[in-house]
Amino acid sequence: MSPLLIDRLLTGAWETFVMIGVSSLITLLLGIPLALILVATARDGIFAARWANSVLGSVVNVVRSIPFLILMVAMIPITRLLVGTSYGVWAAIVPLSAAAVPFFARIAEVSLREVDRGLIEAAQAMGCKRWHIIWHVLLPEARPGIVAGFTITLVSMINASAVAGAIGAGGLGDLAYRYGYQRFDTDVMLTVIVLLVALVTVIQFGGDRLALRLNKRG
Amino acid sequence: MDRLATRIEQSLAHIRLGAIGKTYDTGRGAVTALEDIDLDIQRGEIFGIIGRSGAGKSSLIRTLNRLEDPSSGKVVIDGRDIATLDESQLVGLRRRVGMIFQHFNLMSAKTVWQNVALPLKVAGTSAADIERRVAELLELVGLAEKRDRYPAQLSGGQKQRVGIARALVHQPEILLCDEATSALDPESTQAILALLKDINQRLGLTIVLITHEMEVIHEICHRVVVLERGRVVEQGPVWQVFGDPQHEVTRSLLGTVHHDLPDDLNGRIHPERSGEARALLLDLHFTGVSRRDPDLLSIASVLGAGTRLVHGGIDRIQGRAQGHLLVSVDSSEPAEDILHRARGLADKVGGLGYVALAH
Ligand SMILES: Nc1ncnc2c1ncn2[C@@H]1O[C@H](COP(=O)(O)OP(=O)(O)OP(=O)(O)O)[C@@H](O)[C@H]1O
Ligand SMILES: [Mg+2]
Repeated sequence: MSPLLIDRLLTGAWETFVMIGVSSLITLLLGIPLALILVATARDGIFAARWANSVLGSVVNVVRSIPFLILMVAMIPITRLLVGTSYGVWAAIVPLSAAAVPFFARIAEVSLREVDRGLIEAAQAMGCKRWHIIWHVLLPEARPGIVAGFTITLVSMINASAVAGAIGAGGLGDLAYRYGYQRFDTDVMLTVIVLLVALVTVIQFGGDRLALRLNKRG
Repeated sequence: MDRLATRIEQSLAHIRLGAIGKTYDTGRGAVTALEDIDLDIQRGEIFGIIGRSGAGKSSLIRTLNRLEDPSSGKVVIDGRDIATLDESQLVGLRRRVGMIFQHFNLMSAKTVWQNVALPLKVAGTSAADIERRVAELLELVGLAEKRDRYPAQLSGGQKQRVGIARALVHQPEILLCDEATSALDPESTQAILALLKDINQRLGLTIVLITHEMEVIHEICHRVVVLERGRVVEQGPVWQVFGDPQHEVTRSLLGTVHHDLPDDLNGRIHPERSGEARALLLDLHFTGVSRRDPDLLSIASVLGAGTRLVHGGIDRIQGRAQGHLLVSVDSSEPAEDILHRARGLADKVGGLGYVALAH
């Protein structure tokens, strides 16, 4: 491989890293509150609000059901508005986050909903206010499930970032598309695949370990 | 004036339920869980609630800290109608009313120490006070050396001790127990009961407890109420309800404590005196009402030679002897005469029929 190519690979890896890093941070910061709102406003939730719950639930479902490629194209005006361009790493972060937030929120919602009602009741009986219940009961008890869900979200985000790369977002996907697909350069293609597989493996392994360590129900 | 106020204060029930009703709206229509319940629970007493599954016991106890709001009626604690409390006053009430649960409901992601500290932490207690108070409570329930364990690493009895420590950490005046020993083995049950009795005596706590185990009522309760289909069917001091149950539901609940007649005896009872079956079988029932212990000498002398103790036993509940003694009386006198003579021997005397004399 030429030094130029190695340089491109490094740049691609860095771009992917930035795309995933920033998008996952946004996903975490927006996804968990969204999941909490979905759980808390549910019919038997601690801030029961039926209308808010069904409106929010529908929005989440709609966004989730749009294929990523279409979402990305459809979001171009919004992306332009937010980052000033529809091309490059920063532009890709917008649709990546938009797709991952509802996905992750649904998974986190399931973990939060599975927290034993008895625990919430015990918290109420000991004089916890609703915010205390969220902070001291729901989040810590659901933490292993949320971590596992976040791992899944990261992996599918890497997948999506490669797709985004293919239409000009930069990163490893871009590289594989331009060199591998358009120029039949198998070496680049393989290197990118190896890098992506390694990345996914590391994330999955780390996520599993962390979830296991946080789970004290054992 | 002052003394009058104190007297009124003392005569006021700690917890007073007036005409409590509770209806749940379910998808398939309304379910009535409680109907027209009136109850007074005194300060410092251990008050038991029994009844069949679905009778409304949990619904009732949950109205006392407003985990459930009654559909009608009033719950008055310390003279205050708790329906009138706003959210922050309700939090205050819940700190004065501790609760423990059948399945413990401990936070799995928190250590023993963190579980017991949680009620204080959310109340904004200072770290130093939390440390001191939690240490005190863990000492009280005998779990000081398990403070850094997680609930999953504890036995059932130990988990319930954590539950008790957590419930007592705010120094409540009332402790609610919903089947707190149902998930425990007999030995842990005994230990938890001893602990509850101890806290009741030492801290003067009012305890309201639900149980399916009659031994629990027998052992630690002062008074008991029997619920059936959401209504009170019987209530009173434990010695009275257990010694002389009035309602069919109570009798069937007590079935495990008061053994019915053994089959072999049951099969040998004849309604009329005939042939071999010539000894009258008498049931001497000590209900506890007269506080007397069975007097063996007078039983023998009133009923005469040949009187045998066939079956029965005496329990002591709250210092009163109670139970049934079945004796066979070998006499040719008419049953009415024997019953008449035996009247003074026990609180209730009845004839069950005739049996052959055993040799
Ligand atoms: N949240 C609820 N929604 C609907 N119905 C309920 C609810 N809680 C209780 N019920 C119904 O109310 C009735 C009384 O229930 P409750 O739990 O108070 O009985 P219980 O005496 O505690 O029974 P158990 O001994 O089985 O615990 C039952 O018919 C039950 O099905
Ligand atoms: Mg119950």
